[in-house]
Amino acid sequence: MAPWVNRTVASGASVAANGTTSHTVAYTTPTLGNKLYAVCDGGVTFTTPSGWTLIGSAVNNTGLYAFSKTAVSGDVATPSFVTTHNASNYAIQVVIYEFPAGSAGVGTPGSAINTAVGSAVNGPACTSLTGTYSRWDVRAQIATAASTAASTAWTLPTTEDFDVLVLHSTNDGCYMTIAYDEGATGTSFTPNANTSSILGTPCEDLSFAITIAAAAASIPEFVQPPRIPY
Amino acid sequence: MARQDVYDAWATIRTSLMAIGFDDPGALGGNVAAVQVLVDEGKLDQSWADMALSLFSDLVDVGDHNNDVNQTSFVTKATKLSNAIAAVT
Repeated sequence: MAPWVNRTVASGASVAANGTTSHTVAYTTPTLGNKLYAVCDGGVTFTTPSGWTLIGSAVNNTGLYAFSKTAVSGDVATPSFVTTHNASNYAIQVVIYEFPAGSAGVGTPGSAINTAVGSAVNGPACTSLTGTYSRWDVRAQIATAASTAASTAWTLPTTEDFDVLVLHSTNDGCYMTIAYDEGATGTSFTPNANTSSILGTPCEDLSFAITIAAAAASIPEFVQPPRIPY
Repeated sequence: MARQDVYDAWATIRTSLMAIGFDDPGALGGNVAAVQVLVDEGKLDQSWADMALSLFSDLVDVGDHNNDVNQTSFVTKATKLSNAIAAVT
């Protein structure tokens, strides 16, 4: 079973090149107090949305970012992720995960620009980890007009959750892939994956870990005891 | 000075590179790579590539962390770099 409560893959106008320097992404209404993680990528910089905390970034040909926050009443009323960029009319990708209340980041996230593409290469190590955690790695690559295909074979983490290429259209598109494992232990992990792309350009890479709290048990419905005949 | 001025100054470098024949370097680190090409070809001094890298680092800081960089200095340096690129033949 996936470790998240909800997962929103932003689509359509909310992430398309829109002629402006900002995007507003609506996501599944979270439960108050739950932990939100947003992973996003595009050929531009991203400002940290109001109320969110930057977990890590890797910026070279694309801007790859991870942000987190605890859902507050405003997020429950209007769940939106608003970010601005250094250039206009770029498509972006955003995936927002919601984890049970009490979930929290653990360890020191890793960030790197990988120069090797087309063979299995290590991502940045995530270190200073404790306990049992969910480990994550995200890779991104710019999609120029020449880019028609990209894919990644993950070795670690092992479960691929996302793999999407947004093609160039007027401006550069972007490729992003996300993988995770549950129930990991150890004081560090080093991601490894083979990203195949005709671009041959470097890819940006982020690793992080989350201690995922147990979901709150639902309150069982009251069951009327059977009447005892007399 | 608004953050937008930094963004605009970085875009001016991109425009200067395209004006001398480079393919569009994109909105981020492509400027740095293109300036390095000019250095490698002997058309610019290495100090310009160092400046491009430094400016890119500042652009990233402004972009995600909302960090305070000296924006006047950024624009001044970016303008000098754009002019140096424009003078390349």
